[in-house]
Amino acid sequence: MGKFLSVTAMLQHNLLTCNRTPLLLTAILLSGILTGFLYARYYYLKKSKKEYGSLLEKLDRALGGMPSETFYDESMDSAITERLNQLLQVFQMNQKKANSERDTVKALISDISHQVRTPITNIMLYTGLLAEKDLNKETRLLTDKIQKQADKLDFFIKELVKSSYTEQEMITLHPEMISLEEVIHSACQITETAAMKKQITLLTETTDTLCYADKKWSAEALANLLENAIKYSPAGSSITVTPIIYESFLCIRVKDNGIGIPEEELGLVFERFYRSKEARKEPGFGIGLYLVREILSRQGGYAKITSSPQKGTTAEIYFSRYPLPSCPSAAIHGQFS
Amino acid sequence: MNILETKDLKKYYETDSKETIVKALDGVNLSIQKGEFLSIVGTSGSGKSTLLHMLGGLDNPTSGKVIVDGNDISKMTKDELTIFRRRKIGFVFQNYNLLPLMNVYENIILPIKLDGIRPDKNYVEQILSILGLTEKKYAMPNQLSGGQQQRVALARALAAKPAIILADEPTGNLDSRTSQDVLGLIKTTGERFCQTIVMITHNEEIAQMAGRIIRLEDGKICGGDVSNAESK
Repeated sequence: MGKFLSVTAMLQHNLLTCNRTPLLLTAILLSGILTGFLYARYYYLKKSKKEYGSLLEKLDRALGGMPSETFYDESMDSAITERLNQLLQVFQMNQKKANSERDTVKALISDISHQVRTPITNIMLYTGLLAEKDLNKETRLLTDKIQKQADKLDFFIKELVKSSYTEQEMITLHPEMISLEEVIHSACQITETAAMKKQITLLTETTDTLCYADKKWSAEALANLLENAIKYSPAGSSITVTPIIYESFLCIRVKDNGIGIPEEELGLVFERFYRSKEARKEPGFGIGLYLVREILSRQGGYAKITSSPQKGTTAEIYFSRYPLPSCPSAAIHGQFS
Repeated sequence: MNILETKDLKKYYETDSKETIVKALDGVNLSIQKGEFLSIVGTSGSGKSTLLHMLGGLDNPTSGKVIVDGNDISKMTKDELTIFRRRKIGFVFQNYNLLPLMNVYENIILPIKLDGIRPDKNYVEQILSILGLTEKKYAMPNQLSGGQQQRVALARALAAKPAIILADEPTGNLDSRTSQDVLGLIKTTGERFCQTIVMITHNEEIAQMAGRIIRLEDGKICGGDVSNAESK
């Protein structure tokens, strides 16, 4: 602007003096240069904005895990796109490698646990058969002891397998739209024996509302809640399982009349390996609720616990009622980290 | 890594006659980890809204620092702050603050449009389906229930892919049933998109949804798990 003003000032000054033709030529020339300059600048800015815009779009795509279309010419744009796609490929290859390593470990763990549990189950079976025989007092005592130890071993192997799930993303869920009826039934089935042993009644209601969940793991999560409820409830009490339907979520509420959880520990119970002081008497590693939280959050839900000591605990798990977009969650995470 | 930090944050208000000083915030030290869901509980007048406004750069502190993702926001110019806020922080308010003349979709993409970027359609569709708003895409705000309006506000907050969501009594105008729904969505979308959520509320039960609770009284942190973030 200042430049322009000074030019006009110069022109005016010159016009007042004599000899117009060369001056006029200078003026035209100058204004021509100026317009040319301004236009070039405008063109350049517009072009670079467009270039940056397309680059930004490509970056966004790459963050979402999608490669951009490649084309080959001498432009910088082509070179950048090429590099970006390379970067994406390297990243995806590494991810694949990590996944396959994880799968190997997973297979190994399930193999070992299977092979260990078969003999334990056999020991339990044979001891059971032995206990049914007509035994003298001393033998019965020993049989009881073997039975108890075998039960313990079985429990710890189960816990060990469970805790191995919590390592390195061992849980792979395949959620789909299902009715939770079956989930509730199978969770109750898993825990039935434990409840019967303590003469605890399970009062369950079911629902046929559809929600987005993985059948096997959801049953595992619910069974974990029920196991906890049974473990920390007095003998002869009852536990209720009620579904509650919200607009976006389906909640399954497990309510017991157990020892409860002190308020200051409520935020910690979902942490891995956390065990309440009150809970130390019961066997366990403190992974049940951690697993519950992980399972739920991987299928778009969440878990919540409210409790007051001595009055009982209410644990709720929420399932999403809408199917979630099946885009790779890792890609979404990448966008924000 | 701490994504949000306050250092000895103070906010004093003077009355017109300059005789009395109201200490809305009186030396708040807070650090919030990336990916945390934190709730701040306090009665009305405890300074919790002031604190949230400070965290979001909506108000200037009397003294002290607010550090968001390593940037001291009190050193930013007004223009910088506006852009910073638009890209980094999503707000959810008690009264939704939707623009009445725009439909649901237009309301949601507004912050992206303001940034001069073409909205990523796939992503917006994704948010709509997660929040169960796909069918309401072209509805006007006044045709929606309170819970639905708040879900639209949440979608708008998520649209710009912010790292932090600040929620000011997000369920203040909703009944308890709808509250649970909206809170659940805030929690699950936060996890899904790796966001840090700071929610203020006066309701203890609502606060229980968070992973960590901090209590504020007379402008000071007076309880809750302040040290937790350091040890994690």
